[in-house]
Amino acid sequence: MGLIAGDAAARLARPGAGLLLDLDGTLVDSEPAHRAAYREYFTGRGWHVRDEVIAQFSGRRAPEVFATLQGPWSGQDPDALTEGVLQALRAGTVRPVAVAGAVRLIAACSRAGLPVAVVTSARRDGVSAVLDLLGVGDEGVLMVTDEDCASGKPDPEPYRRGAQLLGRRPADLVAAEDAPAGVASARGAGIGHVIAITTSHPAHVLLCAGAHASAPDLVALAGVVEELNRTR
Amino acid sequence: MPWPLTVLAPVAGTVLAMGQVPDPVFAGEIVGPGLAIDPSRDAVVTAIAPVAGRILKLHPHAYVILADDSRGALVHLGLDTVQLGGQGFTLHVAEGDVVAAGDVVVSWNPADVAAGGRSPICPVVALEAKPEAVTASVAPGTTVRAGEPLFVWA
Repeated sequence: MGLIAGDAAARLARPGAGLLLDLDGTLVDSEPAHRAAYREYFTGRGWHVRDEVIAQFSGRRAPEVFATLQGPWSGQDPDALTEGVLQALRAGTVRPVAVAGAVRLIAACSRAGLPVAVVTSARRDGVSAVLDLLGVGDEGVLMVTDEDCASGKPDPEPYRRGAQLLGRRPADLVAAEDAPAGVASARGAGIGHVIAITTSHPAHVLLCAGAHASAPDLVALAGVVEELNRTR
Repeated sequence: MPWPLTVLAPVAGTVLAMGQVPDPVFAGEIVGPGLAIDPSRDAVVTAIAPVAGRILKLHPHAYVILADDSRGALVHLGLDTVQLGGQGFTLHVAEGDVVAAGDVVVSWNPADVAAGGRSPICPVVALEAKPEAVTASVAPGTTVRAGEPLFVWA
Protein backbone atom coordinates (compact mmCIF):
# COMPACT_ATOMS: atom_id res chain seq x y z
CA MET A 1 0.00 0.00 0.00
CA GLY A 2 1.17 3.49 -0.52
CA LEU A 3 1.61 3.99 -4.23
CA ILE A 4 -0.90 6.45 -5.57
CA ALA A 5 -1.52 4.25 -8.58
CA GLY A 6 -4.14 6.56 -10.11
CA ASP A 7 -1.81 9.56 -10.15
CA ALA A 8 1.17 7.64 -11.53
CA ALA A 9 -1.08 5.97 -14.13
CA ALA A 10 -2.52 9.27 -15.33
CA ARG A 11 0.95 10.80 -15.64
CA LEU A 12 2.46 7.84 -17.47
CA ALA A 13 -0.45 7.72 -19.93
CA ARG A 14 0.14 11.33 -21.09
CA PRO A 15 2.09 12.13 -24.23
CA GLY A 16 5.71 13.00 -23.42
CA ALA A 17 5.79 10.76 -20.34
CA GLY A 18 8.85 8.79 -19.30
CA LEU A 19 10.36 7.03 -16.34
CA LEU A 20 13.62 7.70 -14.49
CA LEU A 21 14.76 4.92 -12.18
CA ASP A 22 17.45 4.86 -9.54
CA LEU A 23 19.45 1.63 -9.48
CA ASP A 24 20.69 0.47 -6.08
CA GLY A 25 17.84 0.08 -3.61
CA THR A 26 15.24 0.82 -6.30
CA LEU A 27 15.77 -1.67 -9.14
CA VAL A 28 18.13 -3.99 -7.27
CA ASP A 29 18.90 -4.86 -3.67
CA SER A 30 22.63 -5.26 -3.05
CA GLU A 31 22.22 -6.10 0.61
CA PRO A 32 22.56 -9.92 0.25
CA ALA A 33 25.77 -9.44 -1.77
CA HIS A 34 27.13 -7.07 0.89
CA ARG A 35 26.29 -9.50 3.72
CA ALA A 36 27.96 -12.37 1.84
CA ALA A 37 31.12 -10.28 1.38
CA TYR A 38 31.35 -9.52 5.11
CA ARG A 39 30.77 -13.20 5.94
CA GLU A 40 33.42 -14.29 3.43
CA TYR A 41 35.99 -11.81 4.69
CA PHE A 42 35.40 -12.60 8.38
CA THR A 43 35.58 -16.35 7.74
CA GLY A 44 38.84 -15.82 5.85
CA ARG A 45 40.25 -14.07 8.89
CA GLY A 46 39.18 -17.02 11.07
CA TRP A 47 36.48 -14.99 12.81
CA HIS A 48 33.03 -16.32 13.60
CA VAL A 49 30.69 -13.36 13.45
CA ARG A 50 26.96 -13.83 13.98
CA ASP A 51 24.46 -12.67 11.32
CA GLU A 52 22.89 -10.18 13.76
CA VAL A 53 26.28 -8.50 14.04
CA ILE A 54 26.83 -8.49 10.26
CA ALA A 55 23.39 -6.86 9.92
CA GLN A 56 24.68 -3.87 11.88
CA PHE A 57 26.84 -2.92 8.88
CA SER A 58 23.73 -2.51 6.71
CA GLY A 59 23.52 0.76 4.81
CA ARG A 60 26.37 2.32 6.77
CA ARG A 61 29.92 3.29 5.95
CA ALA A 62 32.01 0.24 6.83
CA PRO A 63 34.98 2.17 8.35
CA GLU A 64 32.62 3.92 10.76
CA VAL A 65 31.09 0.63 11.91
CA PHE A 66 34.50 -1.05 12.28
CA ALA A 67 35.68 1.89 14.38
CA THR A 68 32.74 1.81 16.79
CA LEU A 69 31.33 -1.74 16.95
CA GLN A 70 32.99 -4.24 19.31
CA GLY A 71 34.29 -7.32 17.52
CA PRO A 72 37.35 -9.37 16.64
CA TRP A 73 38.41 -6.39 14.46
CA SER A 74 38.65 -4.01 17.43
CA GLY A 75 41.90 -2.06 17.40
CA GLN A 76 42.62 -2.76 13.71
CA ASP A 77 42.69 -0.16 10.96
CA PRO A 78 39.08 0.43 9.80
CA ASP A 79 40.18 1.36 6.27
CA ALA A 80 42.27 -1.80 5.84
CA LEU A 81 39.35 -3.89 7.12
CA THR A 82 37.02 -2.16 4.68
CA GLU A 83 39.39 -2.80 1.78
CA GLY A 84 39.33 -6.50 2.71
CA VAL A 85 35.55 -6.54 2.57
CA LEU A 86 35.54 -4.71 -0.77
CA GLN A 87 37.92 -7.30 -2.21
CA ALA A 88 35.56 -10.04 -1.03
CA LEU A 89 32.66 -8.15 -2.63
CA ARG A 90 34.48 -7.94 -5.97
CA ALA A 91 35.43 -11.61 -5.83
CA GLY A 92 32.03 -12.73 -4.54
CA THR A 93 29.53 -14.86 -6.36
CA VAL A 94 26.44 -13.50 -4.60
CA ARG A 95 24.92 -10.96 -6.97
CA PRO A 96 22.49 -8.19 -6.15
CA VAL A 97 18.88 -9.33 -6.42
CA ALA A 98 16.14 -7.58 -8.35
CA VAL A 99 13.65 -5.61 -6.25
CA ALA A 100 10.16 -7.15 -6.59
CA GLY A 101 8.51 -5.87 -9.76
CA ALA A 102 11.73 -4.54 -11.34
CA VAL A 103 11.96 -7.06 -14.19
CA ARG A 104 8.23 -6.74 -14.92
CA LEU A 105 8.48 -2.95 -14.88
CA ILE A 106 11.35 -2.79 -17.40
CA ALA A 107 9.65 -5.31 -19.69
CA ALA A 108 6.31 -3.48 -19.52
CA CYS A 109 7.94 -0.12 -20.30
CA SER A 110 9.62 -1.65 -23.32
CA ARG A 111 6.30 -3.04 -24.61
CA ALA A 112 4.52 0.27 -23.93
CA GLY A 113 7.24 2.25 -25.71
CA LEU A 114 7.62 4.25 -22.50
CA PRO A 115 11.16 5.66 -22.45
CA VAL A 116 13.24 4.72 -19.41
CA ALA A 117 16.57 5.93 -18.09
CA VAL A 118 18.49 4.63 -15.10
CA VAL A 119 19.86 7.50 -13.02
CA THR A 120 22.54 6.23 -10.67
CA SER A 121 25.58 7.30 -8.66
CA ALA A 122 27.28 4.03 -9.63
CA ARG A 123 29.87 3.76 -12.37
CA ARG A 124 28.93 2.56 -15.84
CA ASP A 125 30.69 -0.83 -15.73
CA GLY A 126 28.90 -1.73 -12.52
CA VAL A 127 25.56 -0.67 -13.96
CA SER A 128 25.91 -2.91 -17.01
CA ALA A 129 26.48 -5.97 -14.81
CA VAL A 130 23.41 -5.17 -12.78
CA LEU A 131 21.23 -4.57 -15.83
CA ASP A 132 22.27 -8.01 -17.10
CA LEU A 133 20.89 -9.39 -13.89
CA LEU A 134 17.55 -7.79 -14.69
CA GLY A 135 17.61 -9.41 -18.10
CA VAL A 136 18.13 -6.03 -19.75
CA GLY A 137 20.81 -5.45 -22.34
CA ASP A 138 22.73 -2.18 -22.14
CA GLU A 139 21.12 -1.08 -25.37
CA GLY A 140 17.63 -1.36 -23.90
CA VAL A 141 17.94 1.26 -21.22
CA LEU A 142 19.51 4.68 -21.28
CA MET A 143 21.63 5.62 -18.30
CA VAL A 144 23.09 8.51 -16.41
CA THR A 145 26.05 7.27 -14.38
CA ASP A 146 28.73 8.69 -12.11
CA GLU A 147 30.95 9.53 -15.10
CA ASP A 148 28.26 11.71 -16.69
CA CYS A 149 27.88 14.17 -13.82
CA ALA A 150 30.05 16.85 -12.27
CA SER A 151 27.87 16.76 -9.16
CA GLY A 152 26.10 13.72 -7.70
CA LYS A 153 22.77 13.39 -5.92
CA PRO A 154 21.33 15.34 -4.09
CA ASP A 155 22.40 17.87 -6.75
CA PRO A 156 19.71 18.08 -9.47
CA GLU A 157 22.26 17.35 -12.20
CA PRO A 158 21.79 13.56 -12.48
CA TYR A 159 18.00 13.80 -12.91
CA ARG A 160 18.29 16.87 -15.14
CA ARG A 161 20.60 14.84 -17.39
CA GLY A 162 18.16 11.93 -17.23
CA ALA A 163 15.36 14.12 -18.59
CA GLN A 164 17.69 15.49 -21.31
CA LEU A 165 18.66 11.95 -22.25
CA LEU A 166 14.98 11.05 -22.75
CA GLY A 167 14.41 14.35 -24.54
CA ARG A 168 11.40 15.03 -22.33
CA ARG A 169 10.30 17.83 -20.03
CA PRO A 170 11.15 17.00 -16.41
CA ALA A 171 7.62 17.93 -15.31
CA ASP A 172 6.19 15.17 -17.53
CA LEU A 173 8.40 12.45 -16.01
CA VAL A 174 7.94 10.01 -13.14
CA ALA A 175 10.93 8.95 -11.02
CA ALA A 176 11.42 6.14 -8.49
CA GLU A 177 14.03 6.53 -5.75
CA ASP A 178 14.91 4.87 -2.44
CA ALA A 179 17.20 7.50 -0.89
CA PRO A 180 16.50 11.03 0.39
CA ALA A 181 19.42 12.40 -1.65
CA GLY A 182 17.92 10.91 -4.81
CA VAL A 183 14.45 12.26 -4.06
CA ALA A 184 15.96 15.70 -3.51
CA SER A 185 17.87 15.45 -6.80
CA ALA A 186 14.72 14.49 -8.71
CA ARG A 187 12.62 17.27 -7.15
CA GLY A 188 15.41 19.78 -7.72
CA ALA A 189 15.42 18.83 -11.40
CA GLY A 190 11.68 19.45 -11.56
CA ILE A 191 10.59 15.83 -12.06
CA GLY A 192 6.78 15.86 -11.95
CA HIS A 193 6.10 12.84 -9.75
CA VAL A 194 8.61 11.12 -7.47
CA ILE A 195 7.74 7.73 -6.00
CA ALA A 196 9.65 6.69 -2.88
CA ILE A 197 10.60 3.01 -2.79
CA THR A 198 10.93 2.16 0.90
CA THR A 199 13.60 -0.55 0.66
CA SER A 200 16.14 1.43 2.70
CA HIS A 201 14.39 4.35 4.43
CA PRO A 202 11.02 4.83 6.13
CA ALA A 203 8.34 6.50 4.00
CA HIS A 204 8.21 9.67 6.11
CA VAL A 205 11.92 10.36 5.57
CA LEU A 206 11.45 10.21 1.81
CA LEU A 207 8.22 12.17 2.00
CA CYS A 208 9.94 15.02 3.87
CA ALA A 209 12.65 14.94 1.20
CA GLY A 210 9.91 15.69 -1.33
CA ALA A 211 8.50 12.36 -2.53
CA HIS A 212 4.91 12.47 -3.80
CA ALA A 213 4.04 8.84 -3.09
CA SER A 214 5.59 5.73 -1.63
CA ALA A 215 5.60 1.99 -2.25
CA PRO A 216 7.48 -0.93 -0.69
CA ASP A 217 8.74 -2.14 -4.09
CA LEU A 218 8.07 -1.80 -7.85
CA VAL A 219 5.16 -4.25 -8.11
CA ALA A 220 2.42 -1.61 -8.11
CA LEU A 221 4.30 0.60 -10.60
CA ALA A 222 4.85 -2.42 -12.88
CA GLY A 223 1.10 -3.06 -12.65
CA VAL A 224 0.38 0.52 -13.70
CA VAL A 225 2.55 0.22 -16.84
CA GLU A 226 1.15 -3.22 -17.68
CA GLU A 227 -2.32 -1.70 -17.45
CA LEU A 228 -1.26 0.99 -19.97
CA ASN A 229 -0.37 -1.81 -22.36
CA ARG A 230 -3.79 -3.41 -21.94
CA THR A 231 -5.74 -0.22 -22.50
CA ARG A 232 -3.78 1.08 -25.48
CA MET B 1 3.47 1.43 24.07
CA PRO B 2 4.37 2.69 27.53
CA TRP B 3 1.72 5.37 28.10
CA PRO B 4 -0.80 7.52 26.26
CA LEU B 5 1.08 10.38 24.64
CA THR B 6 -0.66 13.74 24.31
CA VAL B 7 0.32 15.42 21.05
CA LEU B 8 -0.02 19.21 21.15
CA ALA B 9 -1.04 21.54 18.35
CA PRO B 10 2.28 22.84 16.96
CA VAL B 11 0.66 25.97 15.52
CA ALA B 12 -2.57 27.92 16.03
CA GLY B 13 -5.35 27.48 13.52
CA THR B 14 -8.34 25.43 12.47
CA VAL B 15 -8.24 21.66 13.00
CA LEU B 16 -8.77 19.46 9.94
CA ALA B 17 -9.29 15.70 9.68
CA MET B 18 -6.29 14.13 7.91
CA GLY B 19 -8.61 13.09 5.08
CA GLN B 20 -9.23 16.79 4.33
CA VAL B 21 -5.55 17.49 3.57
CA PRO B 22 -5.15 18.15 -0.17
CA ASP B 23 -2.20 15.76 -0.52
CA PRO B 24 -2.89 12.09 -1.23
CA VAL B 25 -0.04 10.75 0.91
CA PHE B 26 -1.18 12.59 4.03
CA ALA B 27 -4.91 12.20 3.30
CA GLY B 28 -4.38 8.47 2.79
CA GLU B 29 -2.54 8.29 6.14
CA ILE B 30 0.27 6.47 4.37
CA VAL B 31 2.88 7.55 6.90
CA GLY B 32 0.41 7.44 9.78
CA PRO B 33 -2.80 8.87 11.24
CA GLY B 34 -3.20 12.22 12.99
CA LEU B 35 -4.83 15.58 12.45
CA ALA B 36 -3.91 18.66 10.45
CA ILE B 37 -4.09 22.36 11.22
CA ASP B 38 -4.87 25.13 8.77
CA PRO B 39 -2.72 27.80 10.43
CA SER B 40 -3.88 31.30 11.13
CA ARG B 41 -2.22 33.80 8.79
CA ASP B 42 -0.74 36.05 11.52
CA ALA B 43 2.54 36.99 9.85
CA VAL B 44 5.48 35.11 11.37
CA VAL B 45 4.41 32.33 13.74
CA THR B 46 6.42 29.84 15.76
CA ALA B 47 5.90 26.11 15.35
CA ILE B 48 6.48 24.27 18.61
CA ALA B 49 7.38 20.74 19.64
CA PRO B 50 4.11 18.77 19.88
CA VAL B 51 5.72 16.25 22.27
CA ALA B 52 8.80 16.09 24.47
CA GLY B 53 11.66 14.10 23.01
CA ARG B 54 14.62 14.11 20.67
CA ILE B 55 14.67 15.92 17.32
CA LEU B 56 15.08 12.88 15.09
CA LYS B 57 14.81 14.76 11.79
CA LEU B 58 14.88 18.47 11.14
CA HIS B 59 14.16 20.16 7.83
CA PRO B 60 13.18 23.81 7.57
CA HIS B 61 9.72 22.68 6.43
CA ALA B 62 9.25 19.54 8.55
CA TYR B 63 10.42 17.88 11.73
CA VAL B 64 10.11 14.58 13.54
CA ILE B 65 10.35 14.38 17.34
CA LEU B 66 10.91 10.97 18.86
CA ALA B 67 9.08 10.64 22.19
CA ASP B 68 10.10 7.98 24.73
CA ASP B 69 12.57 6.62 22.13
CA SER B 70 9.75 4.89 20.29
CA ARG B 71 7.02 7.15 18.91
CA GLY B 72 7.80 9.68 16.20
CA ALA B 73 5.55 12.72 15.74
CA LEU B 74 5.92 14.43 12.35
CA VAL B 75 4.98 18.07 11.82
CA HIS B 76 4.97 19.18 8.18
CA LEU B 77 4.77 22.97 7.76
CA GLY B 78 2.70 23.44 4.65
CA LEU B 79 2.39 21.10 1.67
CA ASP B 80 5.19 20.61 -0.86
CA THR B 81 7.18 23.24 1.04
CA VAL B 82 10.40 21.25 0.46
CA GLN B 83 10.52 23.15 -2.82
CA LEU B 84 11.04 26.44 -0.95
CA GLY B 85 14.53 25.23 -0.05
CA GLY B 86 14.24 26.56 3.49
CA GLN B 87 13.52 30.12 2.42
CA GLY B 88 11.26 31.83 4.95
CA PHE B 89 11.88 29.24 7.67
CA THR B 90 14.11 29.87 10.71
CA LEU B 91 15.31 26.90 12.77
CA HIS B 92 15.64 27.27 16.55
CA VAL B 93 16.96 23.78 17.38
CA ALA B 94 19.27 21.21 15.80
CA GLU B 95 18.85 17.57 14.90
CA GLY B 96 19.59 15.42 17.95
CA ASP B 97 18.53 18.12 20.45
CA VAL B 98 16.27 17.09 23.33
CA VAL B 99 13.25 19.39 23.56
CA ALA B 100 10.32 19.83 25.92
CA ALA B 101 6.78 19.86 24.59
CA GLY B 102 6.05 23.45 23.63
CA ASP B 103 9.65 24.44 22.80
CA VAL B 104 9.96 26.56 19.67
CA VAL B 105 11.34 24.52 16.74
CA VAL B 106 10.83 26.63 13.60
CA SER B 107 9.43 30.08 12.87
CA TRP B 108 7.76 30.68 9.54
CA ASN B 109 5.05 32.70 7.84
CA PRO B 110 2.00 30.69 6.66
CA ALA B 111 0.68 33.75 4.81
CA ASP B 112 3.87 33.90 2.71
CA VAL B 113 3.60 30.19 1.91
CA ALA B 114 -0.01 30.72 0.80
CA ALA B 115 0.97 33.80 -1.22
CA GLY B 116 3.52 31.60 -3.04
CA GLY B 117 0.71 29.35 -4.22
CA ARG B 118 1.28 26.53 -1.73
CA SER B 119 -1.03 25.26 0.97
CA PRO B 120 0.21 26.20 4.47
CA ILE B 121 -1.80 23.33 6.03
CA CYS B 122 0.25 21.46 8.65
CA PRO B 123 -0.28 17.72 8.99
CA VAL B 124 0.64 16.38 12.45
CA VAL B 125 1.28 12.67 12.06
CA ALA B 126 1.67 9.79 14.51
CA LEU B 127 4.28 8.00 12.40
CA GLU B 128 3.50 4.38 11.60
CA ALA B 129 0.74 4.27 14.22
CA LYS B 130 -2.40 2.21 13.71
CA PRO B 131 -5.41 4.44 12.97
CA GLU B 132 -7.16 3.28 16.15
CA ALA B 133 -4.16 4.35 18.29
CA VAL B 134 -5.02 8.02 17.73
CA THR B 135 -7.93 9.76 19.48
CA ALA B 136 -8.69 13.38 18.59
CA SER B 137 -8.75 15.80 21.53
CA VAL B 138 -10.52 18.43 19.44
CA ALA B 139 -13.06 18.05 16.65
CA PRO B 140 -12.24 19.07 13.09
CA GLY B 141 -13.45 22.61 12.49
CA THR B 142 -12.41 23.72 15.97
CA THR B 143 -9.88 26.53 16.41
CA VAL B 144 -6.85 25.67 18.56
CA ARG B 145 -3.97 27.67 19.96
CA ALA B 146 -0.43 26.35 19.74
CA GLY B 147 0.27 24.13 22.73
CA GLU B 148 -3.30 22.92 23.21
CA PRO B 149 -3.84 19.13 23.11
CA LEU B 150 -4.53 17.97 19.55
CA PHE B 151 -4.76 14.20 19.90
CA VAL B 152 -3.81 11.36 22.21
CA TRP B 153 -1.59 8.56 20.93
CA ALA B 154 -2.30 5.39 22.92
